[in-house]
Amino acid sequence: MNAVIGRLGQGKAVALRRALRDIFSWRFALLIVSVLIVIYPLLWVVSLAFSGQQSLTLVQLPPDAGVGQQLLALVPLPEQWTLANFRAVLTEQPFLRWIGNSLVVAVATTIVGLSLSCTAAYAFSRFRFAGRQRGLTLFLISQMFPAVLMLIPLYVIVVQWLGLGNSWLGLILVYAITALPFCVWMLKGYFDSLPYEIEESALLEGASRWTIFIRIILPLARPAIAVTGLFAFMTAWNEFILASIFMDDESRYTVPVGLRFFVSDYASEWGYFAAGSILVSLPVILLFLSLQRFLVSGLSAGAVKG
Amino acid sequence: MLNWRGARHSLCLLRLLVLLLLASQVNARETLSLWHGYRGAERVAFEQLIEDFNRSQGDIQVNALAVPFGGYADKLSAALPRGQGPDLFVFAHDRLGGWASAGHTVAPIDRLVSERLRQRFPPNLIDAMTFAGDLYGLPLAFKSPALILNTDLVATAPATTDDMVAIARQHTDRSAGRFGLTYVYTEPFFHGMLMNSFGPGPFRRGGSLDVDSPGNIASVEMLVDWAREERILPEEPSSALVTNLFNQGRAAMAISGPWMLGEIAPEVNYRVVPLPLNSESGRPLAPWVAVEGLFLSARSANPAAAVAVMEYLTRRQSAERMAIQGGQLPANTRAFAHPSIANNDTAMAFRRQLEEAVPIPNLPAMTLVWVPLKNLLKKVVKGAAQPEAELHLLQRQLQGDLARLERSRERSEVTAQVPIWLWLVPVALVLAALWLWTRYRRRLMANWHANRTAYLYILPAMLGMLVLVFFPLLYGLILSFTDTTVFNEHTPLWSRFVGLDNYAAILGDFDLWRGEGVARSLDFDNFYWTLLITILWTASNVILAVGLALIMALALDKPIFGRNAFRLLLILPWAIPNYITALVWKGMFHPQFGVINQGLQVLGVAPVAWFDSIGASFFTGVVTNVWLSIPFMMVVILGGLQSIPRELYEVARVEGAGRWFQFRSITLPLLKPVLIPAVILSVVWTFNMFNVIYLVSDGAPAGANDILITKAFRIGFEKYQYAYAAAYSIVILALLFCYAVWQMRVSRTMEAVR
Repeated sequence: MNAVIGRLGQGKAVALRRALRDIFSWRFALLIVSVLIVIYPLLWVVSLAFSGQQSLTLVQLPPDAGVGQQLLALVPLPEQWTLANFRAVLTEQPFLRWIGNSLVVAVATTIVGLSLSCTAAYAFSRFRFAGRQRGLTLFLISQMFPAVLMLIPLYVIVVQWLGLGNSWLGLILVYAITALPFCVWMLKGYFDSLPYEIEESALLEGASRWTIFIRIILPLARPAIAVTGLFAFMTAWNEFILASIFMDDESRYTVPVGLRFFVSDYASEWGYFAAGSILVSLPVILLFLSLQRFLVSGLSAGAVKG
Repeated sequence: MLNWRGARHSLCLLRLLVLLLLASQVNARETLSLWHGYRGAERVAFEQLIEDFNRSQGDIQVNALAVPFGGYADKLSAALPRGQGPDLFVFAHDRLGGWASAGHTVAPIDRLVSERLRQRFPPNLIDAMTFAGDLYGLPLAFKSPALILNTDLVATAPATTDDMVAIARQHTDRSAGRFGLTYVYTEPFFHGMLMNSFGPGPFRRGGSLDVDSPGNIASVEMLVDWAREERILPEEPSSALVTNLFNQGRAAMAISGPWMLGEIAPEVNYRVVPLPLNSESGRPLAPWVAVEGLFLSARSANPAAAVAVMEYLTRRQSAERMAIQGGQLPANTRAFAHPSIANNDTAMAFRRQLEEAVPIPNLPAMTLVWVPLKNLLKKVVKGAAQPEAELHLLQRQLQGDLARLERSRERSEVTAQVPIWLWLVPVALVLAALWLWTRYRRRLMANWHANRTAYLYILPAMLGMLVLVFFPLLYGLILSFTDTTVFNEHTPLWSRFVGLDNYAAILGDFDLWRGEGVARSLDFDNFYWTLLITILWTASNVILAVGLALIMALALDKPIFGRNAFRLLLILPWAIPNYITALVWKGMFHPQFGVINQGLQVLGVAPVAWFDSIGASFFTGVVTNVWLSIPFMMVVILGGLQSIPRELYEVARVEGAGRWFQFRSITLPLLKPVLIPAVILSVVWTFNMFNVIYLVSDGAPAGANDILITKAFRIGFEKYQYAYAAAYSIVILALLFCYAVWQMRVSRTMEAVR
């Protein structure tokens, strides 16, 4: 008993010593500095959201103050903390409904995008066929044409020809296709790294390609799928212009469209916008958190070929 | 005589018939859709009004849709010309000329509007809604700037501009961040008050362009005097800055419109007064007024019902409610007689200002003036150019743009025959396809049979790409061989065909300089200049992002205290919508009130005018974009690092290899398969990174820092030369394609076979 406690104490001491060693290492210093740089602009967003005000406060140094006080003036802290902006965002418009719409669209985009890209990536990785290289390049080309200039043709196709205006299906299809190239490329790299032997023996035992794909490849590629899925989700989650052009019914708006109600030509409610942005990014942060263990292995572990 | 009378009779009969027809249409139950961009209190009042209208009668039901400002114009221009969209919509009047000349967008309502209905509105507001003699809608509200005084600092309203400048001078203390006068003086909308007080503005009475008239030169010179000699104005003005300075009591006077009133802090005492007299010209400063009009869409099946809605919404009672509940300045000026409006000094000041205000010209050419004039104003107030020379240059440049549009309009008026050779194109295509088919049929069939599974797996994805990516691309490609502009969008495609003219104009313009002698300067609109900037932009972004992300990933690779927290925090910029973070960065770079310059001052370094020089402005974009793209790169690299077998490092260490050697011979080579696709994709994305450039530096100074995609956007959406913009996009595509092919050749990642 005593020994156990002693060992525990010892373990704690070791952990503490390790933590201290970490904290005084150059790596730690570097990380602290980069985190500060990375989150500093975000702190302005947070401070604005909690300030209850609508415009970014100007920084003006107190003229005859010490350097310390002057530096303090540069720290983004609201004069008073209040949830007023959040309350207004959530109550004065159907914000939760819009978030719900966005969830539907983004989740469906993820599913459609992943189904299309997994199958395509599997073919690109496992089959040797004429036009394989060209096919992969075609996916890349789709990222090269400026998106702003695709608006009108996309409107013509989706709304006029397919009759999918004011429906989520239209948005989902467009978003899924937009995310496709990235997903295909990354998944193909991951599939490439999965050992072929398992499939070979399954083929010998008479399993069909489809069974192999569903039963063996997809479970093995779970980390990569999680990450590309996250990417597809983000594509749909943050898109504004197509959503505002396709939807003709306010109750069908997605949340980025709703957010832009706070910004106009003349005057903008930046406080509401900041609060809304933070609310919008919460689901994404939660997703990051839950996928984090995949995030570091999923994107690219597979891409390293032996 | 008899004949004439007969004609008159039949005309009367016809009119009666039309009226009856229209009346019967009104009687049928009709659902109309209405789009508007209102928000806040204005929106609540407006939608209540529409509800009341729906309840007040049973014939017409109006469905209102609020569209956020950022997407409104695009939504209209996507829907209306294609026979979609609302029956009526609320929009600022200054686009009217463009819509009316383009056709198929808005429809005239003259025949449905009685003289009495017209009398509701002041004549200048009706003029605003009229183009080429036709009335296209009824005015709903007006917005014009006026002078807003901080009454704790300025008690009496200045009568002349000389007075105003004198007062402003007393209240300016630049080192303390105090300014006598603040307004967004680089915005042409606000500069209009000076131009209109010297002369007729950017156009002559007949509508021809005249930006370099003596009056306009005098107006710009006056502004330069205020900004550079009197130094009463803050730098890099924006509406947020104006509101902030005024709210903090650091601006004695502001020139702004009714939209600012809601944002003035409760502790600030203010008064709105009409703008003073221009001491030089002796005429009052005449601000531009933007009229929010109810427009009839060309696709509306029932114009009479739509006009009935307009009539209701502009009634005196409606106008009073919009004014009292929504804080609007109603175009039906009789509403100002309502006691609670008549006793409102602020509303009445704007009402008085309206007497001197001039509607923004609604000529199609006006839309071409905004951006270049803004760039000119920004340039001259910084002393980077002389007003007169610069205005002459602008006049010439705009005339060129106008001539382009005019040519396309003239072509559209000539009813052209389908050229015979055009028929050859589809014939040739069919023949080529047939030949290819007979030639390669066997190989194709064999291929299909051999790889059917593979093709079936790819088919769904390819089908989607075909419809939603390659069709739009083909559309763009075809468009790029025409001279499509806003004016001839509706003529048949073949009549707009100009072959390779657009490409020749883009690629064949090697003249990097414009102007002569002293005024000689780099032409930032030149394709090769923009290409150079784009390449520098892409290279510096990708190199910096990859380098920094690599360093961070290396630091995070091995276990460290708080590793998960670091990982999450470093990823955050990816999670927050980049629209707001880009604007935060822009605010941080503000030369006077931005955190970055303030920080530099604390450290004893002179502040930098971030948006004045090409290098500094370029830097702001790069910093923002690198900040935005590090998280993605870091995650990719982190994944790559995690999958490198640790044993390799151990072996290397046993062999006595140093850290640098380990990094070079193990880490980098094994990262390559991860890095190269990521780098290719990130080059493509950065090359086409629209948001950051557009939101942060906006191409400052004067479009020098525009990249190809923002330039293409400006050509398409600010100059309305759709075909030229499409050709630009195709050039972008070709460049990126060459890059990708080259990169893949070099790295051969594509050929990596398991």
